[in-house]
Amino acid sequence: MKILIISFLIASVGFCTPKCDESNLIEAYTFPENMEELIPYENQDKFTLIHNSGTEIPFEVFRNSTVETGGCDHCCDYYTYENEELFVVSDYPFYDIQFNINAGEEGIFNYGISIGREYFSLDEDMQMSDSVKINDQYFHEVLKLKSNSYSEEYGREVDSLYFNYSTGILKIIQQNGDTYEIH
Amino acid sequence: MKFIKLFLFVSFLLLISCNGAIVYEEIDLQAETEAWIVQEERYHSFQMTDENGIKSSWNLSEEDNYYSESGGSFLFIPTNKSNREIHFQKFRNTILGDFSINADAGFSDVNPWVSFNMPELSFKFDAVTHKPNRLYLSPNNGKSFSWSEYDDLELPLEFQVMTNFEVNGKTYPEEVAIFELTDQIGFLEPKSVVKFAFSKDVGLIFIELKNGLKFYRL
Repeated sequence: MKILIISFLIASVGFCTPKCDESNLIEAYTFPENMEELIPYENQDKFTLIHNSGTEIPFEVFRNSTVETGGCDHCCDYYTYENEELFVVSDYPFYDIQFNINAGEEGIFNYGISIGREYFSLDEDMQMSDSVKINDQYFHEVLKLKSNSYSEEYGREVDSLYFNYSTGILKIIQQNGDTYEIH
Repeated sequence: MKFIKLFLFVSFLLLISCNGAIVYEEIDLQAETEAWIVQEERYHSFQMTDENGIKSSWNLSEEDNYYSESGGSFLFIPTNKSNREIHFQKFRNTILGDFSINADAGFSDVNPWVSFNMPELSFKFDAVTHKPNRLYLSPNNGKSFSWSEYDDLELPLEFQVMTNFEVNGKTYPEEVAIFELTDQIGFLEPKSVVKFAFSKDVGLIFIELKNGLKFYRL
């Protein structure tokens, strides 16, 4: 009798748990064809920023391209999206810099750059400066980005980022007035 | 006779198990130990510069002053309880990581102590004798190394508390704790902290990384 009851309970749990005979890919979000033009660095690219004191800080970029999966818990349907992560690292003590780009619906993608605890998001309709002189060089189509994150307690550490899609990071302005410019 | 012995033993257990028999002590931080805690409001910030003139800020992100309860027992019956005061502060730096300090009142038979904690390093010293009594290193390679005063191993560090400490042209008249790893640091990374100085009235005043880069308080 006991065995019967236990078997019944196990069977009930089995029947009650929703199962997917087959997972359904409902959407695969991909980057637009020209995406590579919007990512300024290849894997292991190197560049240097110069602090206003004259100190040169060398950086190296590591790219990680993946296809991620999304969906809801206990759903059989799922979607995939292309994802690009760029880690900008230096042997010199500096903020962690990371690019996060992921594909979304209708060819839209999210593009963000974090520097330390600050986050800069890039929109396609952002206004660009035609030409900006940085460290005696002219750069075109420059985005002047303000940090999206703000903590009342800690204030803002990195104030602005100058960036364009062809060269990448051009200038970082700290809240304390220190600047880092592309070599 | 056996019954009398059993009766006396049970009576003894009952006696020590009564609340009144529990030795209770509350140990407050002595002013001398608490003086290592910086007298600043939460979110207070200060700046440090490295020797190349690159500045970064530190924020007092967390502070807590509380009592920690601990106790002893005999045959599962509590015999003593102690409530010791601990004062904790954490400073956040986006480039170098967090730095925290604990001032602990200790126990009736153990001196109060102060501990400093950094991302890969934790160090504790006796607040009365200023003798180091524990070092814990947890580098990013996943390994960890621990030394304590109870080991036969000598702690791979130099530590002293001194007054009128001078660094980067400034003199700090109050007591300054100066910590330096001496050897066994081959497994640490170039950006790991190997030396620092902490002043009683000011806080963190100096840091040196394994790659030789030095940071001074502004």
